[in-house]
Amino acid sequence: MKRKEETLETDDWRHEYEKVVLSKKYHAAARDVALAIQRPEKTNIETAMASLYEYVASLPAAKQSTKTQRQEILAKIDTAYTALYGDLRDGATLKAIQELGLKIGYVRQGINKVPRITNLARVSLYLRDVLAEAGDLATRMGLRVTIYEPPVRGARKILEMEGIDPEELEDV
Amino acid sequence: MASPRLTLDFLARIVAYRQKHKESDTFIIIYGRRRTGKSTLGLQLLRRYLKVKNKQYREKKTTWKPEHRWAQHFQKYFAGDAMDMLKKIKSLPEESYVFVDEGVDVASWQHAMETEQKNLKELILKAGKRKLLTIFITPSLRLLSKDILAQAHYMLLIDSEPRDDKNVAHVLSNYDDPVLAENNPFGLYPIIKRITRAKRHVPGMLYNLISSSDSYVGSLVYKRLDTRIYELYDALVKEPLIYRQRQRTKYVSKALYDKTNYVLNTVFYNLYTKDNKSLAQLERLATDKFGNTLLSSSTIKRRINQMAEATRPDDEALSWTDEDEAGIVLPREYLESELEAISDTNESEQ
Repeated sequence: MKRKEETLETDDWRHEYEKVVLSKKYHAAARDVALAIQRPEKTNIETAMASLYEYVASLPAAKQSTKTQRQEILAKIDTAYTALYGDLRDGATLKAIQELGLKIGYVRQGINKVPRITNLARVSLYLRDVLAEAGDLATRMGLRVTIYEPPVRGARKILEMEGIDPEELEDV
Repeated sequence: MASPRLTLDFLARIVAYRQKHKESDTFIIIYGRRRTGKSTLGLQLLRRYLKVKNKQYREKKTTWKPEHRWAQHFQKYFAGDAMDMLKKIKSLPEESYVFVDEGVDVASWQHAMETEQKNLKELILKAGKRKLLTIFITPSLRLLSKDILAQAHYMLLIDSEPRDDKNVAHVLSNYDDPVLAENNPFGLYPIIKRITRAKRHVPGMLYNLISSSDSYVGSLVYKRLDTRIYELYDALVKEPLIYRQRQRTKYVSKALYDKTNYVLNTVFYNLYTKDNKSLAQLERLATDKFGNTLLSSSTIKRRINQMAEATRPDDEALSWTDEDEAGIVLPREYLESELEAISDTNESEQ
């Protein structure tokens, strides 16, 4: 019984720790996705995808239902990946492109015509939706925290609390 | 101007500011385990405070001139407990200070604890009127009731042992809200609850909880003092304190003595009268394992006679308290005879 209580206590701390770590990862992913929306280039989208993947993969999946939901979100990121890098002759790639609503144009390279995705912004928006979904899942699991404004500490706190002007303190 | 840093010098200035502009005293509690440098921290803070007060005196901003020698300070402003300090506080000038180093382990002594708290409350009241800086060092928070903690302005908490002649103290400020300060002074109670619930040592747990508390101001580093100051401090403050503590534990109060005596006499009386034991049997009961007779049969007989003659005491007289030491409980016969005398005089007048 005692052992169980101790385990609960440890899990409590782990939960708190996870909250902080995941919140940081969420903010990193949100920042990268915003950048990918601002500049829908392949490099930015790659970074956003990586951050998002890191966040989703870090979500703890203790229950089977959570595990399934996490797999679904990871599969969505995989779809975006396939759409960007997949072989166009492959059926799965074409399906992914269709799902994301991408358009393929052709760019001339010498005598060849190379296929290119023309509306990369759709991928950024797709990643935005995936991020929101992952955020919802984390919230349902109680793993999202609101990061407050850092509290006033140190000498400034005492000065504010006592209502003292720092220059007045010099004249004491 | 650059924002000031949280140092002991800064705290000393805050105390002086409160005295000058707010006409207010400052009550600082220093809490930590034994040998963590509580006294050192108190003395270091005091050094800064004396520096500020000396400057103020030179600029004629205060009437109190701090003494030059540590020995004078130790004799005049330092005390081992609140009771000792109450004797000294009458002679202390305004805007000076009070330093109480509570090294005595009175926490295990329930009634002494109550007396200590009463004394401490009185001390806080008197220190407040005189705008004094009160530095109170305690190894136990149980010694301080919620009322006392609520009245403190700052708490310096030490959670680790010193390293390389240095240590860190965490500064906590009390709430302005009186209700909050009274019910959860310094936000300490949830922290204590959380730590005791963990039932085992989690490294850094106290610091993590304190630093996330809204009463946390910051942490400051302090160093050791000159060894000679410690020697003087031990000789003039600590040793008299240990002596007083020894005296306290050596003797029992008269109330306790009377109570024990009464219980013993009652046992003898009951055995003799109700259980029909002989005096020889009772004498054997009062013989220790080495064969020494602790009470002779004549003494036991005298005690039994005393009990037989005694009338039922008042209920109040039966419930001994510490106050009975000072007060005198009048015997019932005396009161009855006085009442009879009064009623006789009334009848004769009619």
